[in-house]
Amino acid sequence: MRWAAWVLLGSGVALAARDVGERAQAEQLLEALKSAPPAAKSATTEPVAKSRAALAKATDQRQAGDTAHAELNEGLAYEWAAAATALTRATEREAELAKVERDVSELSTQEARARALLEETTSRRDRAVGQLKQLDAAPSGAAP
Amino acid sequence: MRPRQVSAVNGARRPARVGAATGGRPYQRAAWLLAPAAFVLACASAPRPQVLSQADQVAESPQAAAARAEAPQAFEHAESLRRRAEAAHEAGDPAAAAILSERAIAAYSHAFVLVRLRRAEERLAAARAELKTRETALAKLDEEHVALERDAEALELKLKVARDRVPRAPLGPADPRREEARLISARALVAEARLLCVSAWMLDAERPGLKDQVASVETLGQSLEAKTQGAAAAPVDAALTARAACLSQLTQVRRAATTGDPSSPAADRLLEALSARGGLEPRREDTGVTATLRAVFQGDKPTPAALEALEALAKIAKANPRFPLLVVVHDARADERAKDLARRLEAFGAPRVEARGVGDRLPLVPKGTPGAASKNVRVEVIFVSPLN
Repeated sequence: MRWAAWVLLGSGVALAARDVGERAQAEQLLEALKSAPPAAKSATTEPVAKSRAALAKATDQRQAGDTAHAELNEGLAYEWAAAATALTRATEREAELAKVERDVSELSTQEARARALLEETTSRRDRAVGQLKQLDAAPSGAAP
Repeated sequence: MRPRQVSAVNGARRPARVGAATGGRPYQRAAWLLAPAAFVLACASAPRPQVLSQADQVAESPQAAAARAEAPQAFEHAESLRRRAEAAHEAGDPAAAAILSERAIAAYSHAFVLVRLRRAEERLAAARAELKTRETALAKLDEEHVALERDAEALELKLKVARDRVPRAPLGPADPRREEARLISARALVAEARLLCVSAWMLDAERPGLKDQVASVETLGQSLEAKTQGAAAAPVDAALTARAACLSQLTQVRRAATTGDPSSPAADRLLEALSARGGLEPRREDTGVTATLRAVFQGDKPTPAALEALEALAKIAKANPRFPLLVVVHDARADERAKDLARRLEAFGAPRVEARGVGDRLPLVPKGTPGAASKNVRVEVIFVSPLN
C-alpha cells in the first residue's frame, strides 16, 4: 500500500511539474516573441493572441478550482506559443532567403556584364594582334 | 459525462420505485415501458464538439499529408492530441474535448510551420551555395578580364610604337606657312620625346641605349631651336621617330615592373588622391599621372596657393615613392622656374624630383586664340608611372 501511495504522489508531482512547466514555457516563449522583428510579429498576431487567451482562461479556471481544465488550457497556450515561435523562425528564414535570392540575381546580372566585357576585350586584343600582323606584313616604307 | 451519469442514476432509481409499487397501479406499467427508452437516451453520446470536427478536417488537409512526411514527430504529436480529444468526448467531457481539439489544431499548425521552415532552410542553403558559386565565377571572370585587359593594352601600346616607327614617305618642299607649321609640330614632338626619355631615365638610368637616345633627342632639339623659318625643311619625320623611340624605351623600362605586379592599383589610387585634393586637373598620359597648376608665379615667386598645392603634391609623392616627380613648366622662363619648383617640392618632402622647361612648345590651344596665354601657361607635375 505504501509503495502505491508513493507512486500516486510521484505521478501527481510529475504531472503538476509538467503542467506548471507548460505555463512557464508558454510565458517564456511569449516573452521572447515580444522582441521578434516587426514582419514576424505581424505574422504571429493570431497564435500569440490565442496563446494569451488560453493562459487567461487557465488562470480563471485555477481560481475557480477547475485545475484539470486549467492544465489543459495551459497546454493549449504552450502549443500556440510554440507554433508562433516556429512561425517567427520561418518568417525570418524566408526573409533571409529573399535577400540571398536577390543577391544571386544581382550577381547573375554582374556575371552577364562581366562576360560581355570579356568578349569585348577579347575582340580588342584580337584586333590589335591582327593590326600588328598587318603592320609586320606591310612593305617597309608604307604605313598601313 | 455528468448528465449521462445523472440520467443513469435516475434510471436506476425508477425500478426501485416500480418494484415497491407492484400492486398494479396504471402508471406503473407506463413507467416500465418508458424505462428502456430513458436508458437509451441516457447512454446516447453528447453532440460532437464543432472544434473536434475542425481538427478532423485539418488532419485530412493536403498540408497535413506534407507534414506527415516532412515533420513526422510534430504531426504525430498533433494526432495524439486529437486522439485524446476524441477520448475526452467519448468519456463525456466536452470542455476537455474542445480544449484538446483546439490544442490539436495548434499542434497541426505548428507541424505545418515546421514544414514551411524546413523548406525555407533547404532553399536558403541551395541559394547560398549558388551565391558562392556565382561569386567564385565572377571573381574568376574578373581575374580573366584583368589579364586580358593587360594583354590588350600591351598589344595596343606595341601597335602604337610600331606605327610610329614605320618610316613614312619623306615630306616634300612646302610653302612657307606650311613649313612654319611643320617646324612647330617638330618642336612639339621633340619636347614630348624629351619628356618620355627623361621619364624612362628616371625609372631606370642604367638602361642600355637610353643615354644615347636622350643625347640624340637633345641634339635634335638644339638643331630645331637653331632652325629659323624659311631655312631647310623641318625634320618632322626625325622628330616623330625620336618620340616613338623614347616611348618604346619607357614601355620597355616599365615592362619588368608590370609583369611582376600586373594588376597594381597604385596609379588608380594616385589618381584618386589627386582628385580628392581638388584643383589639380589630374589625368593619365603616356608619361604617368599628371597634375596641372595654373597661375603659379607672381613675379619671381610662387603664389601662396601654389605653395599649398606643391606641399600637397609633395605629400602625395611621399606616400607613393614608386612614382618619381617630373616638373614641367610651360612658360617663357621655363627652365629656371622648373628648377625652383623642383627644389621646393624636395623641401616639402618629395623623394625624387626632376625639372624640365618646355617653354611654349606644347601649347594646349594655338597661339593667337583668345585667352591662349592663360590656358597655355601652366606647370605640370608628372607622377612618372613605373607601370604600363
